[in-house]
Amino acid sequence: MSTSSFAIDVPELLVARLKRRDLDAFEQVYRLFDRPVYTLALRLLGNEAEAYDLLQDSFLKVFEQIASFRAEAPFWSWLRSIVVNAALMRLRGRRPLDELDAPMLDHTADGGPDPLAMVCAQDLKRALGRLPALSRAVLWLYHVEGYTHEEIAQSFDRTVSFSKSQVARAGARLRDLLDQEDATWNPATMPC
Amino acid sequence: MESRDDALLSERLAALPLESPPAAGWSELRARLRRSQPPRASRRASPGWLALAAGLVAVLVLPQLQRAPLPPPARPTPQAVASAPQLAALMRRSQALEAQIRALRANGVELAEAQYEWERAIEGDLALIDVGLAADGQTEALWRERVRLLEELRTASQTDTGPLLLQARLD
Repeated sequence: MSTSSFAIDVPELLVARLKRRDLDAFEQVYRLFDRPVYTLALRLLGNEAEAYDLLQDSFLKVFEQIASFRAEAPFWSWLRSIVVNAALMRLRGRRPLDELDAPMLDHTADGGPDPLAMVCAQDLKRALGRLPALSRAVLWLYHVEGYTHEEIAQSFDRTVSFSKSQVARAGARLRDLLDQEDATWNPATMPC
Repeated sequence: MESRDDALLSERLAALPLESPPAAGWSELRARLRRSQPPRASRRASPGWLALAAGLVAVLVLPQLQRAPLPPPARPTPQAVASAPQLAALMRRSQALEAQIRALRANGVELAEAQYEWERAIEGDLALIDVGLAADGQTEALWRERVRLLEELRTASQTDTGPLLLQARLD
């Protein structure tokens, strides 16, 4: 199930005004979506400057391609696909593009508490930022944006097994990183 | 099926607060959008006929608009109907929309100020179109614009999003 912050309905009339290249309508749509777009870009790219560039580029693309938008799917889903495709293109341009290639230990095997049970947002963001870029992107698209493994495989031009293994490994690695954070937690230097 | 661990991970990730881009984001984007605007005139950039129509409207039409809920409807001439099927379809659509809007307004619901302002702004644009149509009732572009405005007016008459959309229209 998608928990995407993108799922905002845009009135038909507003879309019609976008198609007429009405800048006021663009401002309204920008203000509705700037945070979801920026957040998604940041989670996928892991870098604020690049995320901001992507935000700007994505809205420029909306402006250029709005005539091709057909209301068969919601506007937000069309916009999100623009952002995801642009982010993946940037990721592909990175050399080397890191991904997790070794199976991770299952944290539940040792019977310890799940570090996600009590995690705070800052720790989770920090741990997320330490994942390899490709693995983080797959993890986010699957768990937050509600992409299926098939959709991820298609987007990354990889196999369904690649998506499944990255989701599993990135989830395990994230828990591992949170365990480490927990062990070294110092309230004076790392406020939560 | 999603495991409990997966569900917890999804829940925690989705609960992360949204990040905010730099505040100058829109003004930078607007500057880039303006640079990439195609050279054709936008609707608000008033084509020649609209400027002429606007002048006439200021003298002839605006005083009536203060009371009239709709500008006087433009009527097709039988000649035009016979000569251009596309034009005839637009005229029929225009008449049907006017009828729908009148029916929507017949219940006499009191409008919020924002809703009223929004509708009045659309009616002002409609009046300009009608002045153009009075000069040449067979211009397809004018009929097309008239239908578009009436569709907007119908939406205005039946929607609760008035304040949000009005702001963009008036800005």
